[in-house]
Amino acid sequence: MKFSSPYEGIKKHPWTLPGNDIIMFGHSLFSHPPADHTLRPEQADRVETSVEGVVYGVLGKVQPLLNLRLRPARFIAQVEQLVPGFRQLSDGQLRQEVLALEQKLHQNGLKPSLVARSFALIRETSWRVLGQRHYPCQLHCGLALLHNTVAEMQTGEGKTLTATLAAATVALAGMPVHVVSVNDYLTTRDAEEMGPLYRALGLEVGHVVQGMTENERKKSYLCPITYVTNKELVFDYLRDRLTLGEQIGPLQTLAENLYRKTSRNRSLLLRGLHFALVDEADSILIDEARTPLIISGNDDCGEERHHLQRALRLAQALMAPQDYTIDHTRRHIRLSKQGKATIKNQAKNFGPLWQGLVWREGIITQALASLHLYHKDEHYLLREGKIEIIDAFTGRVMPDRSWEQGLHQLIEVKEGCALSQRRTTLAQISFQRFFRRYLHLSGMTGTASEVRRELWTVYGLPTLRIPPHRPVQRITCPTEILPTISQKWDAVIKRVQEEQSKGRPVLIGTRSVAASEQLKRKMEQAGLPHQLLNARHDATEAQLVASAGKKGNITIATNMAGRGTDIKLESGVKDLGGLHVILTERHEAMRIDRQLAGRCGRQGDPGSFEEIVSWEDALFQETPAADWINRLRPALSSCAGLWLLRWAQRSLENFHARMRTELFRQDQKHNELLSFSGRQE
Amino acid sequence: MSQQLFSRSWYRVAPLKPRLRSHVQIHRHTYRGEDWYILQDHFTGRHHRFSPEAYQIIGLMNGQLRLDAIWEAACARLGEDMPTQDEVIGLVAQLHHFDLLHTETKPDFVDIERRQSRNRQSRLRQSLRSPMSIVLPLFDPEKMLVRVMPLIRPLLGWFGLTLWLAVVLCGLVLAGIHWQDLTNNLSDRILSLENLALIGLIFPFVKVVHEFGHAFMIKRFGGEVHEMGIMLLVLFPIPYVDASTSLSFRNKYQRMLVGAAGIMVELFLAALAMLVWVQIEPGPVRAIAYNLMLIGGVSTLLFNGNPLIRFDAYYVLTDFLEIPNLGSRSSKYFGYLLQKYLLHHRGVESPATTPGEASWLLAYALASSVYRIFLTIRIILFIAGKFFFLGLVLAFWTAVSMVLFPLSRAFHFLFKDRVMQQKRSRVMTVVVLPLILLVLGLALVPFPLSTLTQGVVWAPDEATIHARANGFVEQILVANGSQVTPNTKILQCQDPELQLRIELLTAELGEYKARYQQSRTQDLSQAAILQEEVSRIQTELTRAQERAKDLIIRAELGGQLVLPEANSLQGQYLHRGVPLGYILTPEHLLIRVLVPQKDIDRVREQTLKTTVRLAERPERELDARIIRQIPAATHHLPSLTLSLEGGGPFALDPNHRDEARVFDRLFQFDLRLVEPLADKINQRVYVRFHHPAEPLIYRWARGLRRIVMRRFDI
Repeated sequence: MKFSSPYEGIKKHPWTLPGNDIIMFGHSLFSHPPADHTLRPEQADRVETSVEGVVYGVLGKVQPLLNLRLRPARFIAQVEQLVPGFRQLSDGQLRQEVLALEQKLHQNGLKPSLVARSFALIRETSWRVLGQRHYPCQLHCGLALLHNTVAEMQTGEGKTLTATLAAATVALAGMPVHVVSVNDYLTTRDAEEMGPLYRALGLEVGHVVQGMTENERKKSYLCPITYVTNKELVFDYLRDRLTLGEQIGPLQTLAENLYRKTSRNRSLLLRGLHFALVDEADSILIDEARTPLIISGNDDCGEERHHLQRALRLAQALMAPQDYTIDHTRRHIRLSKQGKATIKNQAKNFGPLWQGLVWREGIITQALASLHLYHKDEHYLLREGKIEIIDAFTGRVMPDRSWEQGLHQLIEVKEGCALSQRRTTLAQISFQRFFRRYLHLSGMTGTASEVRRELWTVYGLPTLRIPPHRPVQRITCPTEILPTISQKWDAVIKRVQEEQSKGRPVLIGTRSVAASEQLKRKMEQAGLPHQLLNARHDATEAQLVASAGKKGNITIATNMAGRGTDIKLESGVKDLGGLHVILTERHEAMRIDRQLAGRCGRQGDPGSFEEIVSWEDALFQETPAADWINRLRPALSSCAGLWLLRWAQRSLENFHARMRTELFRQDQKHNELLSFSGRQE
Repeated sequence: MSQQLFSRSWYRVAPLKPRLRSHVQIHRHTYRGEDWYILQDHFTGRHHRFSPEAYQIIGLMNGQLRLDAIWEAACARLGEDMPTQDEVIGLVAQLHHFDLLHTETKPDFVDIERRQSRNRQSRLRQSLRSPMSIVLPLFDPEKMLVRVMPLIRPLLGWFGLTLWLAVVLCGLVLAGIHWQDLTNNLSDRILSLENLALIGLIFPFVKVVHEFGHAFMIKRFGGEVHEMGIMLLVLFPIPYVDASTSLSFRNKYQRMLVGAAGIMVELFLAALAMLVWVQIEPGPVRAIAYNLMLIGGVSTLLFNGNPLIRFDAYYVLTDFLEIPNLGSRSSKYFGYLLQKYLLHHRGVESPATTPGEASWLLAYALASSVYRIFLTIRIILFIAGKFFFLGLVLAFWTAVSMVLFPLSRAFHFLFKDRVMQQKRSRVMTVVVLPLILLVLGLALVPFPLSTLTQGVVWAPDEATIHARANGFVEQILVANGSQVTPNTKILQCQDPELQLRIELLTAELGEYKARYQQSRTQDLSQAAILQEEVSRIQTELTRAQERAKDLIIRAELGGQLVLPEANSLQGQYLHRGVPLGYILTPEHLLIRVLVPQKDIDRVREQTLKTTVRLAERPERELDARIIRQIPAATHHLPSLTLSLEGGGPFALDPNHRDEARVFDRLFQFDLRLVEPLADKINQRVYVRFHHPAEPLIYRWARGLRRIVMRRFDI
């Protein structure tokens, strides 16, 4: 006798890996789906089987071989051979060459010889239009970008210019290109700076930033090359999905066109996800990967204020550690048995909503989190009576974002703001899932080697390190670890005074808005003229950054000044030793520190970088081993201190990496589970 | 916060209006006093069990209500136990996964295809994972059963039960009476070649009847049977029926009866066979009856009747205890206990939900895992012994799937699970560190190693006193146990016949000498003959006298005299050559030791030191050294003291009852004590050969290799 096993659970598929095709040379457009609003080609969401997972793992180990396959030296030689010939042509003849190449690329796809030709033409055009010529290492990088790779270029090596090679070549081949960057400032700047080059090649450029109308967006997306801010891109994608509703397949859409007068296609923005070139790839693909991007509508059934107030009051009455424990590293609060009993007792007469166990404990946990884990000026700002979230990685304000599950409202009650309406989600996607849908994905960044593994397992992107064009002239001073925070500030001020008296501009990086303001007060006490760049002052960002390179200028910045901003040095500053960067606290990931250090010593300029940190910094205090560190501190040598610093940072990096991987897998699993809902976002 | 009420994905499912498909039927069952709802899928034959809380939600799925309305209604009704949104999503996803749900959304063909292929894959994986039980469905017996049922139905009632009881009781009584005949020389009778062939012929028949027993019992209670086929159990084909419908029976005794029907049918057959066996003369029919009894009675009770493996009795037991999925839940419960008490994981939930369940689960987990390990090893050895290459592959695969997979899953859990990652230090100290220490200890720490065997105190041949002539013991001249010098008289024997003969011969000699003297003058030729005769008698006489001299037994060596039977010796008749006792010279005494073949290498090559303990004085350990080793193996025991019957370690070969012959190949060593031994001859000696210390893991590896080599005759 046999029973088919009863009561089966749901099968779990733990391993997931992406399946990006690598653009092969000779990839013809006939094998590439056309870009239009009906077809909107993109890669289907898929969960890799365990066998695929194993194969990917093995392939990941041999990634470094990729560079061999590219044969960069031969390729660069090929390009340089072609350039002299183009140099003699007149502008009109050059334009003819571009047209001829465009046709060939359409016919034959990205063949190596055509790509070399295209790079040579772009290089020459760039020289004529922008006065800039691509270095060999930029050609190398451009080649890597065509092969679905994350290219790691030293900071200040001219990524913006490099992007033109790949973007223009792919666009000439007829594929829409999205160049994705981290913020509106960079998007606009890059689009404007590179626009003349593209137009000289006969390619229209569009850009999409916050605040544009639908028509403007649509027009920009219709261009062969679109510069777009990451969040705008994803929200536009989600908006398209909402427009389409359940009618996702192209066949359904076509059929619908037959009986509906106005086609939905008209209001669609994107033409599918073809080729994305992600600038600052580690920031977008890794750091922000966890952030869900949500389009929400207002919810009419909000929680009532007095419930939230009660929850906060109850939470305030609870005592750590007997009622609850806080895990700072994991930002995690756990109620103890006693705590749960207390809540139950207290909430007896609070009405029916409080009788549900899950709701009751959920709201109290959130209230505790709002009290103990979310701090003003570190995690959020209070502006015009509203709570605005500060992004932990970019340091920028996220005006439209709100925390979930009542947390936002609880914080509003805590700060005495007007209660915002609880919002309901209409559509949601994470960067991870979104970028995995691109048919071709590639990226550039200054700091990728730490996340090499993650880029491979999640996006199937190998990482390639491009050797720098000019040796970096940055001097790294020895790190100082001071016992207390106030000693740290004193040391910082002393150093600033020293450097400033020499006339060098100084950039000081802080981890939080609160810290930057604390430093600002200290500076004022010391009578040092300075400017402050943090989430509160984001409007004047460009202006501040522009003046940061002036002689004797002091700039305090949260890590929002870290990425992409090119601080131009005033003439004469170079001779003084360039920009001096002081890091006052290590961040969650070493990459962010490296980005900040990368603000000086750009493109062969001189510069120096130093770290002045303290044992009281959150990085040490939030590790599980904080007690030990405090106890051992007097006995530690500076060498051991440095080692501990790196260890604390690395363990935090690993923790975040694990969290991301797990979230990614959970997300995939969850989406599979939800396949019955008939919607993907 | 492990659970949150609201889900981020709720917006995706909230507007759905789900409805159960029409081929799904819901039954309410009671397990251990609690209500459960069984969803029977008539389409696939699957059953799914849901809690009443889940039913609150499922029950509202009518295709009219939106899922958020359903959730709100359920929350209002359930109060304290309200489900979280994620739980609801999980439930709906589960229903969808098993194709039980219908929503108004358009069918997603990609999804349907994916689910189907996943189903196929998981089935394939299942059979790959357990190559010892491969299921091959053959046909749908439903129509046939319906047609035959009218004939069978009368038997499946009180009448049938009475008949069954009568016949089985009869059979039992008869078996009791004829127990001796039935069990005489059992193994020879069963394992003879012809009989095995016979069993092979009868077995399928019995098992098919067995399976039909299940099938008809299901029909009796209104169920349907849609699958019948063959299961390859340890490569042996056994028929099966799919009895899943019985899961939907509300009455647990009905479910139990379905499970027990097979065994009942077989017992009935066995009892019938018993009746036949008693009645008729030896012959083929009687042999068939005998084997029927064997299969229907013994094998059924051993296999199908064992609740520790997933056969009939297991299902009967789970139904009786009202603990469905006893097996898997018991192992989950075991894991729960480990997590809770070993790893201090507070968030984990017990799979035991009703009172009393926990102890059952624990008991079953322990018993079944021990039994499973035992069974696995037996199966592996059996298979690998029978079909060498294929067997090795299968055995390897079984070992991987039963040992490696669970281990790797356990480690995956310990290191990849989120909660476990938070408890990293606990995991390290409680699991990993002890494991590392254990492995290191086993692999690196040398443990004293020795071979222990038994021997006897052995006197060399020259120390043995033998009777040198036949005769009655007349007198013991020296006290037993006293010191003697060489040539001391020990025993005086008397042989009246010899005495007489000497007298006779003396007289005869006199006679012949006289006659010789007489005839020397008369007849020379006569004299010559007599001369001959005289010398013959003379010789005889001399011999007799010598023998008479031998009646006095003297010590050949100096030493302590030991006459084991000194008291009964007086007046006893001794045959020539019989050993009487020993003269113990401490330096002459030996210890004769036997070493089994498996240990011989180490004893020969790596013995550092040898110590012995005498059975009479076990508290003292004495040093000894090897003085002689015999290179050839022997099957003979020097003394019966060493046989199993004599309290020793070596089993005697029963085929050679007349001599002390053993099965094992043994090697003989002679030891001599460093300090002289003055002890009883033939007493047991425990001998320890000391070897260089060695970590345990090598020792175990060697033991395993030996077992494998012995099993597979390499």
